Amino acid sequence: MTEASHIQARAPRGRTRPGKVFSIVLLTGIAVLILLPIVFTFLYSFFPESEIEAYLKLRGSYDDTQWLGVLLSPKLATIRQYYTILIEDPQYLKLFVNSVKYSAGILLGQALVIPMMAYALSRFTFKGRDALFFILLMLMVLPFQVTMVPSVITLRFMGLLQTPWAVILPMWFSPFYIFLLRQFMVGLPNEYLEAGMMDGAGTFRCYTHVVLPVCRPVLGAAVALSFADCWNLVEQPLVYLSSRTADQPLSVMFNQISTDNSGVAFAGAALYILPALFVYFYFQEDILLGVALSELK
Amino acid sequence: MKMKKIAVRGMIALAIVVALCMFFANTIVTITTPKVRITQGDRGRLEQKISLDAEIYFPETTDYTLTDAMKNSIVVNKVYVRPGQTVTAGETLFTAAMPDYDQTMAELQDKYNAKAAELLDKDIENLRTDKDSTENTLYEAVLDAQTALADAEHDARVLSAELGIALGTELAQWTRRAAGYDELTAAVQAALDAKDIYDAAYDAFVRDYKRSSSQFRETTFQYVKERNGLLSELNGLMDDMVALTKRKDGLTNVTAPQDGYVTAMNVKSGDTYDGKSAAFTLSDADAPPQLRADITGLDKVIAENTKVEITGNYGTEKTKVESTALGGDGKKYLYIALTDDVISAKGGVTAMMTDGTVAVTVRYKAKESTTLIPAAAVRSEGDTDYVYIMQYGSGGFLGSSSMKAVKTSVTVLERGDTMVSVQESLDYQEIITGEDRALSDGCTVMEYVD
Repeated sequence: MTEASHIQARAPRGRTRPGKVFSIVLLTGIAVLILLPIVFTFLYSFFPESEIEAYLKLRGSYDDTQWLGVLLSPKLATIRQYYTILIEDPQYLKLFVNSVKYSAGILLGQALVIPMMAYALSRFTFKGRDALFFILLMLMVLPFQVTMVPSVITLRFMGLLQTPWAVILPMWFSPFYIFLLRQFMVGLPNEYLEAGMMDGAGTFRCYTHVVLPVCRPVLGAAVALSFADCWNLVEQPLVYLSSRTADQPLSVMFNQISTDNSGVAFAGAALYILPALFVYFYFQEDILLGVALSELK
Repeated sequence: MKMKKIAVRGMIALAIVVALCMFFANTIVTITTPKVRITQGDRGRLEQKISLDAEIYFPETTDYTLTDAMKNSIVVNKVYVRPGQTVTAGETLFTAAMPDYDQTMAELQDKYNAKAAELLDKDIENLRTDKDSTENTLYEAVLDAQTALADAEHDARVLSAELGIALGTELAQWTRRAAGYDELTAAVQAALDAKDIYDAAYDAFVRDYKRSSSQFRETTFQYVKERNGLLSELNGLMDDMVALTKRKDGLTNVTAPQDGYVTAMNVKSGDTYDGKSAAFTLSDADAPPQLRADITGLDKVIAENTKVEITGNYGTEKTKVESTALGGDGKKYLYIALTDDVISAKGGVTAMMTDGTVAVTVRYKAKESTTLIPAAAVRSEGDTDYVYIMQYGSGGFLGSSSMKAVKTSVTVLERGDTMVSVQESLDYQEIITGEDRALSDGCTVMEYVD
């Protein structure tokens, strides 16, 4: 059963027809408002650069009392913007690959570390476990600006500042995903693990062969959400890689690209969206299910 | 599941596209980007080698027309000089024959003989008597004085003809015309003395005739008058024969009247010359020949002393510009010094005149220092001249280096073969001089590397 059918099943019956129509209209309107930027991004990416540049120059100089006109069709549909960023100026691709590298490095590290930490916090009883979990919760609510300076000091001490590891390593221990998985694992019935142990499985085998398969939905949700975090990293690279512009991910440099090369801003944005979109499509069921099962909803 | 497949395929497709683009981007960009050659602008005076065709030019020339040939035309036998040769005064230019000389001389001699015979007949007819008398003495004195006067006049005329001086018919004018020639002056004085003797004898003769007792008859006076006329005619015929002989001498061996170059020889062997036009032209010895080139269409001001190179038989000879001036035909000419080295290198003036033109190279140098850029860099669109300047900048993402061709208008001051002088200060700018395809303003370019 899909999540959509879940929601539909829970909807109260006997709602009046006008109310239903109103809901549909309202939700459709909201959906359109949310989707409109994405639609415009892809639509404008096929406009000529000159037309886009001229249009974007209107920003800040248009008449406040009037609606800014919306471009609906290009004078000439072209893939010139894509040609520029993919072929003519491959610097964009280099930044794109940088983002892929950071995302891959972070996700792989998180895949190794976070499930095991969540497993330990949820299944083992040891001295200081609750204190540790409390610290974890505290770290989760602290904004990055608070932990930034200690992190810089620590990374410099370790000799990792101004290296890609300064961005990748701290993200391996992201408190939110530990918390997310821990909450899910806490809810797992003990019978699952006991059955495994009775069949002769040790702690690690129980983890790999029982817990992880059962946690697959929440793992998918965690991967999708973490990917979104990694793909949109801004503060960490800016602080940890301040002198290494060439190693910055696309998320950091995208604003500058849009300013300097407004003619290709929409094609750049479209390409920038695509990976996140594909990841979301792939994990969309897991995200909903995982969040629901981990009782975070 | 369907959405997962779409997502996976999309991700794979995106990865492939990104990978391919990263791999082939530089190759595609290299293929699609115009390649250009660049050079740097410079500052200096525009130098240009201007190739011109020059011709030999003689500043001062004199046309010589042999007017004697109008009376007796001549046929040229042999011409000894050619245009471009130097001659000295008295040097034979050409020889000729006077076909009607013999006939004319014979006619004059026949006339002379007839008149002489007539005079002889009259003298015989009027021979004086043997009887001594005052009348006979006066008569004899008049005849002797008349003969002496005719001889003296004849001598003076012959001498004057030899000297090329025309004495005329009035004896009173002879002294003035003979001034400066001692021998002729003496001959003229002898004629004048003879005239005085004749006048005195004639006056005495006339006085005696007027006496009532005079024995003279009217026929005697008539004889004396006729004799005067015959003697005058004989002198005239003699003058004609002398003049004819002198004309023959002058026209059959035509010599240079002055030193200088033969600039034109209008007669050739076999031609009949009638004296109506110049037979030859000589240059003034004090005005040496020059090279003259037509620069009417040239939009440059070439200064005096500008270097000129002329390729000769043994290398390149150097000379210089002497002046520029408008010619009589309204054209603007450049006058170049013709040195002995140049003449020698080109095989002489005659050879140069035979060739017609001489290729000269003027090393033009502008007066003022301006921005100089290669001529190939300057393009024209209507009346507007422009160049493409290379602009380096952060044209790409993150200020990645890019090279762009930026169209910049220029004001062309002067054009050379290889360089152009422009008003704008483009010193040390990198200017595009060549490209493998058409450029447009602001287009991205790559530098062509050999």
